[in-house]
Amino acid sequence: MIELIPEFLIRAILGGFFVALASSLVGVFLILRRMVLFGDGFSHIAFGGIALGLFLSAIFEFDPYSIAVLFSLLAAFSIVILKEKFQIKNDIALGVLFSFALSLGIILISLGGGFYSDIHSYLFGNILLLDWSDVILAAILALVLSVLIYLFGKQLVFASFDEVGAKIAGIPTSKLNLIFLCLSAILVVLSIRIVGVLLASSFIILPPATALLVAKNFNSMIFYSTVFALLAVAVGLVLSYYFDIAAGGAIVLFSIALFLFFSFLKKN
Amino acid sequence: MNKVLEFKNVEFSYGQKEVFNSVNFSIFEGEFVALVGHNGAGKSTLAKLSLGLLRPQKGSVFLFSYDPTKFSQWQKVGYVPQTKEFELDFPISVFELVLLGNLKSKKGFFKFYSKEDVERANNVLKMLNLEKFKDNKVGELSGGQRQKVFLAQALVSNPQFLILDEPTANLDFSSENLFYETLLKLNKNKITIFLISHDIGQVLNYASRILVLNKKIIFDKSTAELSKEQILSLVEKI
Repeated sequence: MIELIPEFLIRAILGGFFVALASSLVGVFLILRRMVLFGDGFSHIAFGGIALGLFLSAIFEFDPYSIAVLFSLLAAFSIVILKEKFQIKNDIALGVLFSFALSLGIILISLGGGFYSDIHSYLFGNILLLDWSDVILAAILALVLSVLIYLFGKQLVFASFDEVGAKIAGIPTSKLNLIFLCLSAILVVLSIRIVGVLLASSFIILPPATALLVAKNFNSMIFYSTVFALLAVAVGLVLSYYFDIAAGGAIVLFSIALFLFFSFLKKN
Repeated sequence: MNKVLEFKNVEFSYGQKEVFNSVNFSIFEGEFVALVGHNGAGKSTLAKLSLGLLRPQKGSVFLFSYDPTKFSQWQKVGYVPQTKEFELDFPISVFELVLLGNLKSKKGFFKFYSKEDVERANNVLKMLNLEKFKDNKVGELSGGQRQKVFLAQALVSNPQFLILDEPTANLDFSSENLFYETLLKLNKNKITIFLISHDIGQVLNYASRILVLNKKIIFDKSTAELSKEQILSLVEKI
C-alpha cells in the first residue's frame, strides 16, 4: 500500500504532521502570552534572512533557510535583550526588528534582480517539495518541543498567566522567554517551507485559537490544538491532491473553517 | 516577637516624582496589619518593595530579615494582588491555578508536583469552600470567587506571611465581608497578614493595627486603642 504512495507525498505527510505538532505546541503559548502577531513578525524577519541568503548565494553557496534561521534567532535574542536592558516591550521590539528585516529584504531583492522569481516559492511555500532533511528537522523540533512542554509547561503557563507571580515563585521568566522565542523563530522558518512566508503565522496560530474555544484547562488546550493542526494538514493535503490546488492555502483555509465552526458552536 | 517585614528609612521616587521619604515600620509575627492611604499614595509601590520587585533608592527593606531582592524562601510568603489581568477564556482550571502556587517551594530548574502538593491543593480548596469549582475554568467564576482562588493559590505553600494589595477592590459588599472573615480565620491560625487597602471603614473591623501612608507612615496604632475622634481624624486624612 505504502509503495503506491509517491515518495514526495510521504515526505509531505510526515513533514506536515511533525511541523503541525510542533506549531500546535508553540502556538498555544503564543496565544496564551498574547503574542499572536509574533508568528507574523518572525516570518517577516525570516523573509529578510531568505533575501540575504539568496543575495549572497550569487557569491557563495548558501542555503537561504539557514540564513533565515540565523536571522530569526538573532531577532529572538535582540527582543529579550531590548526588554531586559532597555525596558522596551516585546511587541515594540519585534515591530522594529521585522520592519528592519523586511526593508533589508526588499532592498536586496531590488539589487539582486536575478532571484526575483525565486522569492515567489518562499512567499507561498510548497509542502510537496519537502526533502528528507526537512522531515528529520521537523521531527527533531517536534520531539524537543514535546519534551520542553513536559518539563516546563507549568512554568510557562504560570509566566503566561501572571508574570509577577511567576517571578516571585522563582521561575526564571527571562530564560524561559528566550528559549520560547528561539523555538518560535525556528518553527516559523520550518513553517515557511510548508505554507510560505505569507501564511506561516496562520498555520501556527489557527489550531490553538480554535482549541481555545473548546478547552477547559491547559492539557485539553494542548490536546485540541494538536488534533486540529494534524487534521488541517491531513485534510489540506487530500484537498490539494484531488483538486490540484496549493496545499498551503488548503491547509490554512480548512483551519479557518474549523475556527468558524467552533466559534459558531460556542455562540449557540 | 520576630519581625516579618521591616522598612527602615525607605525613600523611593519614580523619576522626579517622589513617592516616599523615610518610610519606617515593622510587622511582627502573628499581626493583622492594615496599611491605608489615598489613591496614588504609593500603596502598591510599597507592596512591590516588600516583594523585591522594586529596590528603594535609599534605606532598607527586610523580609524575614533578608533583602527581598535576594530572598529565596518564597514558600513562606503569599501574595494576592489587586487584580490579575488575564483573558477570561485563559484555559486554566481552578485546581491547576492553585497547584501552580506549589512551584514556590520547589528548588532547581525542573519542577514536578508531588502527591503532597496535590493533597495540599485539595485541602486549601476545601478550606475556602472552593471544592465544587475545582474543575471550572477560572474565567468562568465571579469576581469574589476568583479572588478566593488567588488567595488559595497564595495559601497552598503554607505561607507564614500574606501580603494582600487591595484584594477586595472589585468585590461586592457581601463578597468583601466573606473575604475579610476568611482572612481573620487565617490570622487566628497564626498567619501574619499585611492588608493594603483604601477602605478604612472595612479594615478597622478586622485589622489589629493600622498604618496610614502619606509619603511616610503618618499614623501607626493598634485598632483596639482607637477613639472615635481618632477614627474620624483618620477618615479625614485619607
